Amino acid sequence: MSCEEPTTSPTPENNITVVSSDGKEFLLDLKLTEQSETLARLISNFEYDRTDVKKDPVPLGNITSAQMQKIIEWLQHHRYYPKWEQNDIHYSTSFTFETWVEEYLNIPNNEMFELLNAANYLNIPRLFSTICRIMASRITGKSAEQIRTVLNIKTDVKNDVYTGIPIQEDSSSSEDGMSEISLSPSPPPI
Amino acid sequence: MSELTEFEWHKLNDDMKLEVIKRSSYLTRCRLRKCSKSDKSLVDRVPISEIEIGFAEDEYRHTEDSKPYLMVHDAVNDENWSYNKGDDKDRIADFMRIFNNRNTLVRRVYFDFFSDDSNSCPFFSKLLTELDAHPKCIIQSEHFDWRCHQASEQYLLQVLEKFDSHNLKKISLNGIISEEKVKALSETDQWKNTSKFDIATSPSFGELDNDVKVKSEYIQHAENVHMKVGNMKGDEIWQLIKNYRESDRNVASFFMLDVDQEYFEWKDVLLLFDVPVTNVSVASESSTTHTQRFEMSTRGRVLVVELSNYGVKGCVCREEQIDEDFNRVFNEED
Repeated sequence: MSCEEPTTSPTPENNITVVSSDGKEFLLDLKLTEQSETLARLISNFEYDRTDVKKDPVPLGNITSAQMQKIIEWLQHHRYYPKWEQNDIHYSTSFTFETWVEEYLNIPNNEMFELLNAANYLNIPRLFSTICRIMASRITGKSAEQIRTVLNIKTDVKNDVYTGIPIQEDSSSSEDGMSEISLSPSPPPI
Repeated sequence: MSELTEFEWHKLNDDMKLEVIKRSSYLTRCRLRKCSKSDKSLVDRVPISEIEIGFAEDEYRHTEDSKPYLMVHDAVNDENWSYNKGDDKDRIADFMRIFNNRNTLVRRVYFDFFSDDSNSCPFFSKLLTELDAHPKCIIQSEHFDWRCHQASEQYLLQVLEKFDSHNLKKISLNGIISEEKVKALSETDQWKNTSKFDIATSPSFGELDNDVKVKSEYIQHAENVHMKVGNMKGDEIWQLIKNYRESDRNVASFFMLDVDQEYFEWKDVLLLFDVPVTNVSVASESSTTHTQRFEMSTRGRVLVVELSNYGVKGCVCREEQIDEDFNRVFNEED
């Protein structure tokens, strides 16, 4: 599916205007806003889906124009996708992504962090879930120390006074989880 | 794709962190919870689901100091880990920690101690001591899988009773288990609430007299039953058929009895039928096979039973789709 220019819709009565925190206006097709639970609820509350209702611009104080542009790109791409449903309450950890998504999220980490916040604010569950899965995939297979580095976690665990190494890392498993896990043969078949 | 370097994890609020943790594999969670106290606390708030976990003997080192492994299989990522550091108490603590979160529900918990070594009994004794000391720790699993030598039988009932009966869907028993023990098991809530049974003796255990003794009345409530037995009397089989025929069961409910062909006189079972013996072809037209169709009280459903030298299998089918239902169940089961 190709992305469409979001500001060139031929039917203004089916659009709303959103305003980013830096004052830029975006004309959004109402169809696209269905993917955002925040916008969909707002449109429903103010009856903006009716053609006879005057639509005031919607200020999005937490979203910059760059983020809004990125989000519109996501909404356009998923315009014809079925409604998102979190059908697995156990959150299957599938780390397979379509090529478009990999390219879309091949962005600096600070931008991804901002995009995650924006997706959370606008309540776009497909985008939010995808970014969470991308983040989970990038710490998969890493040791605790590597995860600390990747996620910039400042440990609050007491360090060994001689080595400076967090004591939990190599301590007995009972308090800290499996401290030493190795590859093993398959479990017995069911 | 870029790495997550310079990602400010601490700037995410807890709800967002939890969403990332929910989508992380079990092993990643184990490692993340060692990064900081706050991450440990967050990881422990997320229930664990798509894993199988169990204890297994060290199959390469049957020495006095060999230790049971704690094994974990991440079913989503198809990754296996084993863990035998420390002593039994450490591994038991790790096992119990998984169930500290009351919403955790793992796919299978197994105990795999086939050898007659001296390690399994002390292990089970310690496991039960720890579980008794922490009564709030209830094992939440869909499947209880016991494949142990006879030496461990004394612990079987107590271990099963540590499982949450509301979540248990399947019980597998593999080993020599006395008739008295099976009877005691059948009186537990865990057994009564379970709808799937997979019960077998191992040929390596030899004597047919040592077959698992599971009377049909014990599995009257079951939806799916698979049993491997050395022999089974004709009247027991007929009782099982009648149980399936007379109760309101779902389509695709089945039983499958794999019987030692040398001892199995399946034609004797036909003599017990209370309906005309009529062979209807379903899966096979072989002369060594008899397929009987039984009417059920539930409209539109029939019980189709196939007897052969290898055993007996029966399945509740839709009246109009007998072949389809029967083959689907047993092709998948095979």
